[in-house]
Amino acid sequence: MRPLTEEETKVVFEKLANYIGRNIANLINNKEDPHCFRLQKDRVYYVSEHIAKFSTCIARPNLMSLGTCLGKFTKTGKFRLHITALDYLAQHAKYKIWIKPNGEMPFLYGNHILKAHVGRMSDDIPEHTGVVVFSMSDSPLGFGVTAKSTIESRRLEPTGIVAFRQGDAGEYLREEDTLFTV
Amino acid sequence: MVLHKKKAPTVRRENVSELSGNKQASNQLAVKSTATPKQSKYNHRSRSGINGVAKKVKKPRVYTEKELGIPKLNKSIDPEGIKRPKGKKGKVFADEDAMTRILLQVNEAVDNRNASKLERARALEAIRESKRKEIEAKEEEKKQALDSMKSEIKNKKHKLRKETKKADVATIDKKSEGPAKKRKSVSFK
Repeated sequence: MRPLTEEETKVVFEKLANYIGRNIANLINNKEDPHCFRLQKDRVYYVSEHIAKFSTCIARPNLMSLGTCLGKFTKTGKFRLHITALDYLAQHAKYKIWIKPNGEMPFLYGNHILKAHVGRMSDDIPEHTGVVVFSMSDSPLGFGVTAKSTIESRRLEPTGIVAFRQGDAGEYLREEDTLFTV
Repeated sequence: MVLHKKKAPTVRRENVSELSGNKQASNQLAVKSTATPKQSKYNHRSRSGINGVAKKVKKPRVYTEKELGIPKLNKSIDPEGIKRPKGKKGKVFADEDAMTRILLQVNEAVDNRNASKLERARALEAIRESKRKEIEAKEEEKKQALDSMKSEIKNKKHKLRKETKKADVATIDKKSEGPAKKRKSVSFK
């Protein structure tokens, strides 16, 4: 376990900024319970400093996980967000899409969001921006990337794709084997 | 008293063979063996001395260029003026200040990107809107022209009909005029 280097921090922040924008500052500047980013093997964890200090007592091969796993670095150095980061993404989301009850199951099964399933969406969402997907009862289901901007998606046909799925809550079951271990 | 005879000093003579002195003779009489020279079992170069103790071989002292005061050679691979950082390549961890700085940089880049995307989307939307209005105006014009033509044609027909009707009515009236009708009168006698 070690802190992130400057290059790694930049890559992680670029990814997070796509979804939560300037609210990353809320993650860093938490005065009540200061948190920090730690890297264990190739996974990035967001953990309170108090717990991070305890985890230094555990040997590296024995340390499985700590805090919240935001994602992992791929072999090529890119950062991939995991569904385990949804809690923090949902709290500080910049752009949101709410899907109707009939669209929830297709999304949780791993399909993209069609226009027919969209209940409402934030105004002025640019194209290819990260969005957090909610149900109509405001419970977070996952996150994705917009295929079209809000204005263009109004003129889409009902079977057109509004957002590409990047992560959904169904991954806890589908990716059970690889989500917490390599 | 004993008298000692003086001994003449012994004359020493060297017995030098003519073969060694005369080159031609030695050349002719020399035995040329074809056998290979014997290889000795022992390594004459080994350091071990008589009792197997290593001999101390003193190497001549090599002076470095620095000690001699010679300036560094300016090679193309290793130019003299350029200083490269030495030491182990380590990781520079990001502290709070670094994270804040990186955050600001990333935010600026993302905001610029999003702003440009939104601007482009709005510009495209404005263009589409203006095109749509143009098309609608043209269609409206065509429709109006069509309607006016239709109404013109209708009016013509109506006029013709009216005129023909009038003409018919006039002829019918003329025919039916004949003897004047007596008005009925009522007398109160």
